[in-house]
Amino acid sequence: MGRAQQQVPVSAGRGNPWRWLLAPAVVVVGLWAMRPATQAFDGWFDLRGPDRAAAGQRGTPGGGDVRSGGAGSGSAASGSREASGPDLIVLGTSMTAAAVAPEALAGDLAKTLGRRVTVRSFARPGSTIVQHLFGVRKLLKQDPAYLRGTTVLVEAPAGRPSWATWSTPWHIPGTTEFVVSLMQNDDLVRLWSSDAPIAHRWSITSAYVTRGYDEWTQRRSIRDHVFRRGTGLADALLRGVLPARRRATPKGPSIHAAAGVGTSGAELARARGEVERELEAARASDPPVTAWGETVFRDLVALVRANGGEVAVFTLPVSSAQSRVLETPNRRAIARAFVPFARDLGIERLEVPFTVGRDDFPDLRHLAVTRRLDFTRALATTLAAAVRSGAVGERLSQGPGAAPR
Amino acid sequence: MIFDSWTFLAFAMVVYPTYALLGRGPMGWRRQNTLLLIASYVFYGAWDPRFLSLIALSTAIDYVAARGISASRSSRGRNAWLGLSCASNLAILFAFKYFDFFVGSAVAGIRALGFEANAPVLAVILPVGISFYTFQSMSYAIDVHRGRIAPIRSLPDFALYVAFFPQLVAGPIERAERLLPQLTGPRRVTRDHVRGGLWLVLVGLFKKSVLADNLGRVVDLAFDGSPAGDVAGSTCLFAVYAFALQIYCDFSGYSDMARGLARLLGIELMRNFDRPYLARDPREFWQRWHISLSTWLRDYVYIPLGGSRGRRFATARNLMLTMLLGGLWHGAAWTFVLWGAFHGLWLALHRYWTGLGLSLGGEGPVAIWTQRVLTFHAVCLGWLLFRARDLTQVGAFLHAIARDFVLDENTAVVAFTALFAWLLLLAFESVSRDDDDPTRIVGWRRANGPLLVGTLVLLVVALAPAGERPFLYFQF
Repeated sequence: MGRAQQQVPVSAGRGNPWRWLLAPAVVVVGLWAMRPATQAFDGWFDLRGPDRAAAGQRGTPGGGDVRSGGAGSGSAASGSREASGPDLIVLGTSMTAAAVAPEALAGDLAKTLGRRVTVRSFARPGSTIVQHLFGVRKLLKQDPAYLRGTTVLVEAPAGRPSWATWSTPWHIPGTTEFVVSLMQNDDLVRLWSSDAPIAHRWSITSAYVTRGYDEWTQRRSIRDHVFRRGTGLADALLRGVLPARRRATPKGPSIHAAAGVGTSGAELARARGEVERELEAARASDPPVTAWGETVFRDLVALVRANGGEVAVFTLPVSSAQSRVLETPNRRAIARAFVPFARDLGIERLEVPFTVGRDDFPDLRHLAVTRRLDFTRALATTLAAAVRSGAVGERLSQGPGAAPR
Repeated sequence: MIFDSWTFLAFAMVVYPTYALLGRGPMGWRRQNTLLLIASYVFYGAWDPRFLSLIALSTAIDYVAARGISASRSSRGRNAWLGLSCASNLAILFAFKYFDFFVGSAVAGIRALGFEANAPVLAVILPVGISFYTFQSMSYAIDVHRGRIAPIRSLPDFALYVAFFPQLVAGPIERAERLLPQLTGPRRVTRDHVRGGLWLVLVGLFKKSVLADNLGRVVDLAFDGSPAGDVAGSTCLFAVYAFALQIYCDFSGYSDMARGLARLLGIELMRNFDRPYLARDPREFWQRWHISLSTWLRDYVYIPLGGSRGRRFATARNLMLTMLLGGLWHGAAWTFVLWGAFHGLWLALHRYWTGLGLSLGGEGPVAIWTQRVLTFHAVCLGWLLFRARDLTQVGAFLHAIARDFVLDENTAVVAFTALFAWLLLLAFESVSRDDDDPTRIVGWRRANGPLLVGTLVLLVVALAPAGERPFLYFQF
């Protein structure tokens, strides 16, 4: 036996072993005591969010109606369920969240089409096409008629939607819980039969297997609550002691908060730095050409169609820095291949006429908040034209109160 | 695979019960060693299997070199074998860690002089923990050369010494004379091992997940969230305090977990931290901070350079060279070199003025705490050099603290997190008294033990941020 082993202290007595029941009691009581002070975390894509009840009373002046997904929302208390879903669902990442104002989209469409239009946006920062497919599947599980007659608009930066396959990482780093909250058991089979990196497969699997831990403890909301309250207290105390830095009055946030990157100067600078690094890395590596028939997008289209909906893609403006990334040979080939693919499947491509300038992307990725309504209006106009021509939106083209197919 | 992950929990749930089962019988420790070696390679390979070849190469070189040293009859032959070991290890380290830095710095220097220069860079990924296991493996060959230990016969046992998973990627850097005897004989895991091991794992988890990971978020916000000159002085100051605690909790938390995990296997690793922020001078700080590295540098660099045996200037030079090497060991960047130089200079000055009989105050509590506070702030100045992106940021932070001490939008979150974490740590240390043996905590055998354990678990469950955040020292 090694010399150092003798350093391990030897205990003198043991005490009453039953006292150890106190330890789990402290944990359970502690968590229980902290819960009421916090809000539950609801996953995305839930028909039950509190926004649902509010949405019905939030009609826009033009008669539009809007709902957003339930991320970070409160208790899932709403009882009634719609017989069918909204007229329009928007799927996308933070780029769409920054560029499309669902309220304005609903209002503009209502004005143009002369009927009440319901829009629900699931555009979320940090989301991927896999999460959106799982989310749509979850909606259908809650209400099989949800997509009947609905148009699902999918973002297509510079005209190309996500070409990710099942072997592409299912989530962006640090957001495992978003995809895990939407998964079901058989997705693990799909995950392990894909060619995704082993580390990625394992991280999703372990997060999925242990998801009950986060749900039961509600640790995310407890932690957020503690730090939010503490920061507020510190802020109040420090303001009594130190002067605040004088800054020129800001004209408002540069990027809409829905993009999730923050709107302060510091956060924007950080986001811009991150985007620059990402774009540099992306420019250096050209991905292999993917057949559109193998993409998750194709499966999303199939799922929506099988349940009575239709899919259209809309062109999302990108910054010049980002468009340079898209101009590598393989990325161009992928974009070219999308045109016949979309034509064969009857997917409408909405080319939104929208001109952008150098200052329209404060962090190189997300549209400036000052252009948000302009883009939304352009999208509404393009969509309304497509509806009138019969290219999309069977339900949208019908008169007020039209029943789903 | 990091200790505070579900993946590691699954790994441990396979390894530890199997280890206990294999230990039965007179030669059970041999089977246990085979298991530990396989487990250690799986543990390391989980990061990137390609780097297993590097660790195997280091192991083979030092195993052969030590055998060669032992078999050589002439001192020339012994020196040649040692030279082979050191040159090979340092070449691997240089290629993977320092090549791009030195070449890039040289090219930048030439360009600064107005000449055109280009040079190839390797752009390889830094293998996790390469500095730790290279130093550990190299010290074995040096100790054999010095006659302190005999070379080990079993290659698998030596491979386990190099790759032992609890301390493989971030230390402590164990010496062969301490660890090898534990690995090459029967081990018994007692009740005290299990209790002490679990306690250390829990303490490490608390320091890492609750304190270091939350602090890391606000430290990143202050250091990486804005252009250097755009951060208010108050945020800069709180961020430096936060980083001082983050790096301590992150690294000592890892060391605690490493020691706890090894203790659960019946193996004792050395203590790597001893309340470093209570140090009263730089010398004491280095006796309390990253003890395994500071003693390694003392034994294998400082003393061979002459230590403090020469004149005052020679001692100062030896201190400076040792600390410069210590700074460079942490990473290939000028900020690390400057951090090492700062500590070298501080140690040399401290030695100079104590040599003159000067000291700050006496031995009363006020004097002691004054010395501690001053030493802590000097250490924090070093941490600013250590954490900053570049020297421009160092200057900007110091300028903001001195001339722009106002609030900005991040001050409150940085201040609250730093203060909250400091208070939690102080409360914990005042109860636990930083003791390895939890039974020495007052009232442990009554209700205090379960209450303390329950509270630590509650804090880990409720306050650890979601997602995995690697240990800071993995990059070294």
